[in-house]
Amino acid sequence: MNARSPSSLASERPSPAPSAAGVLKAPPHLASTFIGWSFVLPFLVALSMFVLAPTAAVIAISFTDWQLGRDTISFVGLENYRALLTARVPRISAANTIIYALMVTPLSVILGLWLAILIESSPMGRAFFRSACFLPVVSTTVAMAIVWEFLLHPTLGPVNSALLLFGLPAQRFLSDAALVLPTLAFIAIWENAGYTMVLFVAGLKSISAELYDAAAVDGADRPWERFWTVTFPLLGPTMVFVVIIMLLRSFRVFETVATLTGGGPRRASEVMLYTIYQEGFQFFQIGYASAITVVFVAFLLLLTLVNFRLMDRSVHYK
Amino acid sequence: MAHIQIQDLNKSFGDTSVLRGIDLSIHEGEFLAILGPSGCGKSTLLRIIAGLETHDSGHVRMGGSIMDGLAPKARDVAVVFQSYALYPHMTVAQNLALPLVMRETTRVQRLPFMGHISSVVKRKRVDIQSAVERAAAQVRIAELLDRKPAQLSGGQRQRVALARALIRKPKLFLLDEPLSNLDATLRASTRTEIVQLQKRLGTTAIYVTHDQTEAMTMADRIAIMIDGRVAQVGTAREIYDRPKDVHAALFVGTPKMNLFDGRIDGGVVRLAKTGMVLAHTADAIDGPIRVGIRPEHVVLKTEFDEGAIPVVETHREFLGSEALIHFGIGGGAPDISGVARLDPDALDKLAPGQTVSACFRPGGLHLFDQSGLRLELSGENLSPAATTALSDKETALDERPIPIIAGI
Ligand SMILES: Nc1ncnc2c1ncn2[C@@H]1O[C@H](COP(=O)(O)OP(=O)(O)O)[C@@H](O)[C@H]1O
Ligand SMILES: [Mg+2]
Repeated sequence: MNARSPSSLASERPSPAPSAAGVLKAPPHLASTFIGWSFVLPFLVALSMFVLAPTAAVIAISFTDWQLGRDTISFVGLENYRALLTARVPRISAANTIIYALMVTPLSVILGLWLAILIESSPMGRAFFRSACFLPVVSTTVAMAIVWEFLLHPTLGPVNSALLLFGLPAQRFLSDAALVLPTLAFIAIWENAGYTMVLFVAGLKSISAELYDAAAVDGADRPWERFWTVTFPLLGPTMVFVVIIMLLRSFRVFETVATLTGGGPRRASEVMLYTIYQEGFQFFQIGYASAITVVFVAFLLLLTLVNFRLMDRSVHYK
Repeated sequence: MAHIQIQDLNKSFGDTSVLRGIDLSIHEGEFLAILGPSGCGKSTLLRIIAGLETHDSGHVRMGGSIMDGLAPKARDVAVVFQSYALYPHMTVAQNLALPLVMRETTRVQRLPFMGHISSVVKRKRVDIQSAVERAAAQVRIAELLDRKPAQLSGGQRQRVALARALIRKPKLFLLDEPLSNLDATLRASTRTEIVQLQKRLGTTAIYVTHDQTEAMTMADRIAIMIDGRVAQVGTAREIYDRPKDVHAALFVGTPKMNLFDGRIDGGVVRLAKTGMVLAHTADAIDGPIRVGIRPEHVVLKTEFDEGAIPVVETHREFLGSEALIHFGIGGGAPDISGVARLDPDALDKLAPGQTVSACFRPGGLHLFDQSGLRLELSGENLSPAATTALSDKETALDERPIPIIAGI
C-alpha cells in the first residue's frame, strides 16, 4: 500500500532527528525519576524517623534493663519477656482491654450504622443531626471525660439524681469494680458512634438508588428486606474499615482511664496503654514497659491482618 | 380495551413540572417505545408506571384496575434499568432467583437452614432453581450462573438484567434505555433479540429511549415525548410521514427535516425570506407558518427549470449508501440553509460549490402553524407525502422533478 511507514518519514528529514530524540529522551526519564523520588522521599524520611526508628528502639530497649534516670544499661536478653509471662498486672490489663474492646467495637459499629441510616432517611435536618452526632468526635476526650465525671458523680451527678427520681438506687459508676469498665465503654461508644456514623453515611451515599428501586420491584421493599438485600451487603467494604478502626481505637484506650479512674478500683479498669504508661513513666521500668509494648503491638498487628483476611473475603464482589 | 391506560398524568418536582397531562394507552402484547430527548420526563413516567415514583394527579390503569398508590411489587411489573442494577454481592443465579424468592417464600422460609427442615421449602427451592436455569437459557447466559456481576461484560450484565425481568413472567416489562451502555454492534444485535424475546413471551413492553433508531426498529408504536407532553403516538411510518408537531418532525429522521420560515397569503404558500412560492392552497388561512421538507424530498438538478430555486452547495457528506448535500439558498438570501439526501452516484455529477436548482418531490411539504402544530391543508404540492414520497429512493440529479412554482 502507499501508506508511509515511520522509517520512510524519518528518512525524509534525517539530520535533526537522532540528536533531537537523544536530547528529548533522557531528561523526561531522569526528570520523572527525580519527581517520583521527590514525592516519596519526605514520606520515607518521616516514616523512618517517627515510626521505624522508634519501633526499632523500643524493640532494642525491651532486651535491656534500662530504668529512666539511671546511667547504666545492660543487655538482659529475654528476661523482661519472661517477667511479663508471670506478672499479674499485665494479664489483668490484657483481659480488661479485650473485654472493653469487645463491648465498644460492636456497639459503636451498630449504633453508628443505625444513626447513619436514621439520619439519611430523615426528610430534613440531616446536616444538623450529622454535626450533632459528630461533636463528641471533634471534642477533646479529656475535656469530655471531665464532663462525664461530673454527670456520673455518686452524689452530685445528674445521672444519679435521675436514677433516684425513678426510685432506683444510686450507683458509683466509676468506683464500683463491676460498673467501671461498662461505664468507660459507654463513654467510648458515645464518642465513637459519631465517627462510625460519618463513615457509614459516606458508604450509604455511594449505594446506587437504582439498586433500591430494583429491590422494590423484585419484592424487597420492607425496611428490613431493603436493609438485608441492599444496604448491608453494599456497606461491606465500609464495614471492614470501620470494624478495624474501632478495634484499634478501643485497644488504644487511655485518656478516659487516666483522667477518670487511674486503672482502679482495684485494677478493675487497668488497660494495656495505662499499664505501659505506669511501668515506664511512674515506675521508670522502661525496659519492661518496652517489652509489654512490643507484645501489644505485635498482637494488634496480627489482629488487623486476620481481620482484613477474614472480612475482605466476605465482601469481595469478584 | 387497552391493557395499560395512562390518563392525564401530571408530576412536578418542586416547581419544575416534569409531566404535563400524559395520555397513553397500550394494547396487550404491544411493544411501545417512548422516544424523546434527554430530560423530557421519560424515566419519570416509567418510574410512575412501575410505582417507584408517586404522581400528582391522573391515573395509571392496568387491565382496567387503577394502580395509583400501589407498591411496585403489587403491580406485577418488571423493570430493566439503564445501569442494570444487579446486586453486586450475589451471583448471577442469586440475582435471578431474588424476585422469585421474595415473592414465593415467606420470611421464615427464607432462613438459610429451612431447606433442610421443611420439605415445602425444599420443593420451592428446587422450583426456583429450575426457573433460574430456564430464564438463563432464554437469554443464553446459562454458563455464567456462578459468576458475580463484576466478572461479566456489559453485554452479559445486560442479559442478566433481562433474565431477572422475565423470570417472574410479569404482566408488563418496563425498559429504561437498556442499550445505552453497550457498544454500537452489540446494541444492534441486542435490539433484535429483545424484540424477538418480547414477541415470543407476548408480554406488553414499554421501552424508553432517546435513540430514534431503537424506537423505530423495535417498537410497534412510538410515543414521541417532548417537554413532559406526548407530542404524537403512532407507528414509525405515521410519525415520519405525517408528524403532528414540529418537534416530533425534527426529532425523528436523520438528518433533521429542513425547516424554513414561511407564510400564507391568499392561498399562496411562500418562503418568508425570499417570497418564493412553494405551494397553493384553497384553504383560506393567512399568516406566518413554518415549512418543513425532509432531505430526501429535496431534488437537486443541474439544469434550471423555470421557477426552480438556485442553491449553492456548502458542504457534502458521503455516507456509503447515501450522500448529503448541505446548501445555502442563493440569490440574495444565503442565510437560509438546508440539506438534501442524494444517491451517492449523483455526487459525481455535481462540482463542489456549484450553483444548482432545487425542487421538491410532490407532497413533500409539511406545514406547521406558529405554535408548532401540523396544518392539514389541501392544494397543489400539499397532498399527503406517504402516497408519493419515498416511492423510489434515488434522488438523482437527472431526474424529472416537479419544479417549485416560481414567483420572487
Ligand atoms: N427525584 C427528582 N427530583 C427532582 N427533579 C427530578 C427528579 N427526577 C427527575 N427530575 C427532573 O425531571 C426531569 C425529567 O427527568 P427524567 O424523567 O429522568 O428525564 P429523561 O429520562 O427523559 O431523561 C429532569 O429535568 C430532571 O432533572
Ligand atoms: Mg432517563
